[in-house]
Amino acid sequence: MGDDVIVCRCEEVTAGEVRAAIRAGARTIAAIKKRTRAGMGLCGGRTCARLLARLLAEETGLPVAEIAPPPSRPPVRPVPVAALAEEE
Amino acid sequence: MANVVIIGAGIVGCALAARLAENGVKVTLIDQAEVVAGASGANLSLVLWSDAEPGVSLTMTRRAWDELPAEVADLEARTGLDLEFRRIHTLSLVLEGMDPRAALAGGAHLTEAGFQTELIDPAAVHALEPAVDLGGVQAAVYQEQAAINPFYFTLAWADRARVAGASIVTGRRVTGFRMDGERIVGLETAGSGEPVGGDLYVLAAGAWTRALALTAGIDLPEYHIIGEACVTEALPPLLHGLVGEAGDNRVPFELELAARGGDGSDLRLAEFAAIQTMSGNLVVGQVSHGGPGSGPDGRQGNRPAVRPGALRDLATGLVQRLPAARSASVIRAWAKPVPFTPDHQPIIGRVASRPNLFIASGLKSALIITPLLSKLIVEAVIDGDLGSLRPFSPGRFPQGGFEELRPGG
Repeated sequence: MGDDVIVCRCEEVTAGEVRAAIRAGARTIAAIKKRTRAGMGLCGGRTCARLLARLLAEETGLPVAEIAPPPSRPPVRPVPVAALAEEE
Repeated sequence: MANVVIIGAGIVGCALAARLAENGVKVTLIDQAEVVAGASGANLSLVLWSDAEPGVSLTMTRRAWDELPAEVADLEARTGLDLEFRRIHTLSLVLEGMDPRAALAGGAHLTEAGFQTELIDPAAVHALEPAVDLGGVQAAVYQEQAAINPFYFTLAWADRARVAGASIVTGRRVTGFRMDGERIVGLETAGSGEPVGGDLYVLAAGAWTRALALTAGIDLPEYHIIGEACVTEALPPLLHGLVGEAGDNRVPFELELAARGGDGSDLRLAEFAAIQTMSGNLVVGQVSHGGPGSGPDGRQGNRPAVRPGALRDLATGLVQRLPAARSASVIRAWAKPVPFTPDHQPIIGRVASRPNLFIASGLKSALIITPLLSKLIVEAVIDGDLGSLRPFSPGRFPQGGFEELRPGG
């Protein structure tokens, strides 16, 4: 995959930016996310997590199976504020 | 000081690693997860001087605040990262039933130190934050403070440490210290890897500090709350600064938790505060509670879950104060252990009976103070003298608050 390919559409993060994060020490999807914002958008990383795992495997030589999935954070899917709030 | 091991890659550990390595010290920084995985990144991104006293002294906070723009510019120049540092106002809304004069009087010591703290009326609040609903608001405490991206701020220190030659080991959990009498001779870690050891061990593990110090036979009075907050999708500009509510309920909450030895899953505090990041997301805080993991068996607090009810309380506060956000989506929430000490001062220094253990933890408002504090800590480590950091020494705690456990005890 070329460096200019967008891997996270929500936050418009390219494969090159992810590779740079890995070169700077990121060894997990969570670490890539903190540096690049990949996975921090509306979809919560559902689209890009696989691609991030693949890039991590390619760059570090780790088997894909050993790469932990990103931590799942509630509410898991976007939920409107009004649906969560308790209103009078 | 040939070889220093730092436990915890939060902002304190990363800044210390950078400054020690730049002073020619061989540094290994080790973290159970990744850089900025704990409380350093799980916050409202605020650079607050208003946490001074309780918190570190006004003199030190004033100096840290004055030096911060240059420190940030230096970090950005060295790393090429944009830390999103910006001046913002913080508004603490004074609700009906509260005495506005009392809300302001709580900041008298800040005014004396030259920090601008003033009461403004609802019309002035509206002028500053037109999207804020003023229902029940009789005034607000206005302060000029700042915000920064806490991930990038911490990562920049980590980058700087790496460039200076520090070795950063992530994904390896320290489970304890290996002792030979009073001396630490190595680290016990989960999983495999090269043994990690050094001449001096700096414990900068935030909420995990207490549990790790216990393995060296030291019981530090450092506890933690679990803080819960949530983030919305990116929105057009709605908020210009921080909007929260006046009234310091946090200090009594933490004192009660400390009085219980850190154990208090039934203790809960909901305080509304919201800020919009440079990316447009609203960060909404905070519900705090104690937990079974707050006690000496603090490991249980490792990965707390967001509790039922937290999202409801956060969303309810947001809709009430910022009605325009009602149709926005909440996209994630977190629950993170955040350390505190009973006197709200950090714990910094060597433990008398453990000659090669140095504690650097328990900061109340770490983002503002770390650039300065790390400089002073590195001087202390190199000179072997705490100097102006003496008030934070672990030796300040009276018998019973701080005790050395017998080996094996």
